[in-house]
Amino acid sequence: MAFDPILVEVVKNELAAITEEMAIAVWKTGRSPMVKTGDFATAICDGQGRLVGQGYAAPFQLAFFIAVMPHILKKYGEDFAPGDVIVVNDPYAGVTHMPDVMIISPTFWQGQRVAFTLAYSHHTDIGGRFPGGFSSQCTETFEEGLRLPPIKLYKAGERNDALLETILANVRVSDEWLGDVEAKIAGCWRGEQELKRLLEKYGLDTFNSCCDYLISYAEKATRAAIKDIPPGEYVYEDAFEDDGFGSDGVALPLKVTLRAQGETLSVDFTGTGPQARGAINLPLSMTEATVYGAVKSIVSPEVLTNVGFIRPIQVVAPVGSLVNPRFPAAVGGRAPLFFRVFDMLFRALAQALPDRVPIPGEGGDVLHFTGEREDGTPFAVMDIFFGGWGGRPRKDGIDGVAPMAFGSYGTIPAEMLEREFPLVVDGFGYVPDTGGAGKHRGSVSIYKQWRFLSPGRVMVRTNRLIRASGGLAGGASGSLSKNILNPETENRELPRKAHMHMDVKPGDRIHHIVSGSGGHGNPLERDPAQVLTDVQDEKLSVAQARDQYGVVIDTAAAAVNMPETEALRATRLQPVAAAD
Amino acid sequence: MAGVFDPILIEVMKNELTAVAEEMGITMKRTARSLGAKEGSDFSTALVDAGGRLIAQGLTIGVHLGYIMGVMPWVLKKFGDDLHPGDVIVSNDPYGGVSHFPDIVLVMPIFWQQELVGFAAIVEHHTDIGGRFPGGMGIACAEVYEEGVCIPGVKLFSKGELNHDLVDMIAANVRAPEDVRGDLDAQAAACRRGAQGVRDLLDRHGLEQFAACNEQLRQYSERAMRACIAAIPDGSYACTDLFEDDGLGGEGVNLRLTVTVAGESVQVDFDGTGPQVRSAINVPFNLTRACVYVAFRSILETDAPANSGLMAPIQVTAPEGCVVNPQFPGAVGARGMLMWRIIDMIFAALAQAIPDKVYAAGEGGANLLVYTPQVEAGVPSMLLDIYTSGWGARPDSDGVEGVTPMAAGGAMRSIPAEMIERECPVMLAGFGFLPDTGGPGQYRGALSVYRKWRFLGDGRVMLRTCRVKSVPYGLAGGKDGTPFAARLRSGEVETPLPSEMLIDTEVRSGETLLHVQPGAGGYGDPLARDPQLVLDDVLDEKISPAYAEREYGVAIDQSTEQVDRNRTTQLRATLRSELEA
Repeated sequence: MAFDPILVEVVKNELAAITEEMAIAVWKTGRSPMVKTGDFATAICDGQGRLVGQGYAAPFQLAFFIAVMPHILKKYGEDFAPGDVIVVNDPYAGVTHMPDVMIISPTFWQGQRVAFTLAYSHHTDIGGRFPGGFSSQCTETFEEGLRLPPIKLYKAGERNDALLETILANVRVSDEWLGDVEAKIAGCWRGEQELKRLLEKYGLDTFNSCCDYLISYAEKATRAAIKDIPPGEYVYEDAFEDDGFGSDGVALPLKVTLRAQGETLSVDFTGTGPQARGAINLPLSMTEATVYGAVKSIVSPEVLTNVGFIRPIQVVAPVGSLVNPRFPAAVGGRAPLFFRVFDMLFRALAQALPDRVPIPGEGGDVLHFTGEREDGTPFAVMDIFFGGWGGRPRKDGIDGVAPMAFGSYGTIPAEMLEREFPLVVDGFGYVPDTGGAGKHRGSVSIYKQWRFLSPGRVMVRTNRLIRASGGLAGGASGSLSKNILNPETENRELPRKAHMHMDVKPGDRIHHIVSGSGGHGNPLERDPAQVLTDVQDEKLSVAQARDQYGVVIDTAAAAVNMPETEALRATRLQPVAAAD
Repeated sequence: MAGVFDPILIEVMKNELTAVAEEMGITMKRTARSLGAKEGSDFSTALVDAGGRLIAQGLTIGVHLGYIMGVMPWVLKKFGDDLHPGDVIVSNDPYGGVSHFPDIVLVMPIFWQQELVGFAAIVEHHTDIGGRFPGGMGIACAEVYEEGVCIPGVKLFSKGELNHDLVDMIAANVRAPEDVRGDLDAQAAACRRGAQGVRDLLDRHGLEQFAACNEQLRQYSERAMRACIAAIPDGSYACTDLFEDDGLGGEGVNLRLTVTVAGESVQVDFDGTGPQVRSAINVPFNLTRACVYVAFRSILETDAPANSGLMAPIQVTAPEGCVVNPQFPGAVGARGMLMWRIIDMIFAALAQAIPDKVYAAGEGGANLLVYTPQVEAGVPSMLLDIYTSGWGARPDSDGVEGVTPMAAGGAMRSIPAEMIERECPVMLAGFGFLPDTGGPGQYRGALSVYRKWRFLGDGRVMLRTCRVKSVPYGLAGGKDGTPFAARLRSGEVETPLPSEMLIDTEVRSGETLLHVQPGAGGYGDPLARDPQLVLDDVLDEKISPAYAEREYGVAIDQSTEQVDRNRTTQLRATLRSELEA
């Protein structure tokens, strides 16, 4: 077939449109709030299982589909039939923790397997010891819930009812669980229909050669982008403060070394500590996903999201370490370490590309609440929410959005939470004086306060309770996170554990504060007009404007007092840490 | 029921049915993969008629008797119209008639001339079922969700075709996938053997005679049980006990049962028993009922066949939400401890009415050890070790020593050291009787049996003992038994382990663990024991001469190895007057 650049562009956009349509189908038909917030993604692989298109996905979700396909092909070889639906959530088969359940369905056209459609989402529960299945206080996968190796939920269009019934017997709130799985199957089947239509238009040869071209194009584009990184070694070290059980004084060593050499990039985690007993470990698929997501965000955001993109990137993760644990190490609570590794990768890249790399930002904290309603029916809700972006080389961080790793995530509206679950959102807003100061400041903290109407079990996942998001290029750290029980009465700070469990009774309130993000550049160089705006927006107090930024605000005139500001700034040399 | 009454044919049928059920057991034993099944025989087989009523049992653990009875109504309700030749149903759902997740039941419908004529069923205790604690029997679970994989009643085979995806999923969730896969295959093979055996019987005798004989046998067993109950004086006999703790180290659990005998029927009611707890010691009601059945089965003096007729005169009631009738999703994995206690309590209650027919308490239940060695990669070779202890003394003889509890029917056996050492990184460093233990009595309770393991790899151990804060009771003047002990030796340092029903501890390579099970209770006045029996015990090194003098007032002349009659008379007179004072 002759190379036709216009046709390739058309097919590329059609693939993108199909994955988006799949995502819309999942979003419109899913049952759980998780699907409504965007904690899911859709994708298309070609007949060989190579990822060729992805819809509605956060950067870190990019690699999930790439990681899972070899396991599917290894198990089933050529044993696929039209109407097959495979389900998998196995962290040791490419998925990253068990609440994430992936659906994979082969597409057949004219008797031939031509593609796979895929969708995954984060489910409200997967059974196991802790409702939600993502606590870090587990030591083995066996404890964390139901593990689904690649298995066929439908065989040639016929549902395996015995299997499905067994799965449902093992998860809490099983009707919602099934609703989300059916939504993903609907998404995959929508993709299949559209793919067939595409093939009717262009034929299999054209489709395949377009896929080949798009994959090699992504690879070439990535190689070119990597070439722009000054060759060399960039090392970033950090420590992780939670062993899964919130023990005191924990500092697990984390180390990443980026090696940029011509057109290839190696990301080496040698020096990272051994796998933890608690469920904070990143399965290899999650580590890879974190690397691909971070590199994609910075190095080659415009490159197509297909398997070609990852080819020039090599991930080295020692077996038995925090970033590549051995089975049956528990991994359910891997998210906080994932956020940290994502943050480290940005900071390592910032050494190479200081004028391009922002601080990725904070958030991804979660309230998980389970119990029974008054009528005895069980409920489980997972409320995920965010802080915002860190300071950027040329702009402030954005307040109140998902950090960069989470691109497409939103926040569940209070109205929806309150309609479906026995809780009330008493407050949701900014916390002043919490963003990391900088020439470009980091996002301020977001607080959320829930009031529970039913007794139940609560888990709060909180990032950065102990180690703050640092600044870059002279910027200051953001403030720490915090959880307070019943602020109006007992006003007790809850233990600083990344996964904190407790029982609540009706009327109890938890006031959660997401950490602020680090700032970028020297705060004393911040435009005083921006400082004034922050004060007027009630994101910064007059006192902190003075302390952190050396900006004196004349409150009566609602203006900056320039002479005093200049005088004050002249006496300052160093930025001051944000108030905790 | 049609069919001619033919006593000889009935007897033949009874024995043939039992033989078929036993053949199922032999098939299981010969083909199973796990040590627990092939050596420990921790499984039971049964045949059931088309209406779900038990018609025969094979190699069997007494308390399993009730599982099949419990699960059959669920099977019939769910699959009544949807049963086909080659189907095999699998379940381990404690809220669907089974007992705890590690016990998996397979039920296969039997078809003969296109008609459903009955079921072959087998239950087996599997090595692991996933969940928080290896073995699936941990105490510190609050909900069944954390106890492992729940398999509701679903078809494992549909028209002869194995549901591979279902098995793959189950295998992915257990720590011993090869054991579980292999044992499920063996269970299915046993069911097929049972079904074939029943079809052979039908080929010979026809359905009409088969059904008629079963009905006659059922009535016969019912009559036997009614006669047994009628021999118990009418009245209410209550027993209360305070169970060790709530499973989480908190307060003890109040247990109460009342056995009410009225003519030929009996009711056992658990009113007064404490509410279900947030640990896994709750006993699913189906199992509570099974405990009652097995207790009454054991006082039955005829060889009436084990079928549903035996259960007909027995009614069991327990308040909903109590520890012996918990509500979903209450955890039940460690129900074993309380299960054995319920059986002891039924005997204690019956002792008020028929003291000459019941035994003193045995060691308290089948104790066991689960060892999960750490491995660098791959699947660990887990050990679920099963070993024996002994019975309480009986009204007319000593407690049997070195066997599994009476309610386990004597079918379970200790796993041989050679097998354990071949398959798991463990050496059995000791296994035997501990002298001067057990309760003295006219009939002596069984001695403590100890077991000692040396671990050859680092790993995790869970050790279950059903009586840790109480000792097995004696009856009719017999003394109570002796307490449990567990000690971990590391080099020269020996550490006593806490008095917990389920000890969950890490072990290092080279360490040895000693488990001393409780000694069983005695029956009758020790001073009334035949001095010759005391001498035999001394010669057998089961008791020391000093113990013989102290507990039995029997003096042994060690040079002649004979009883010193004169000193014995004196000693016993002294002991008796001390007692009376």
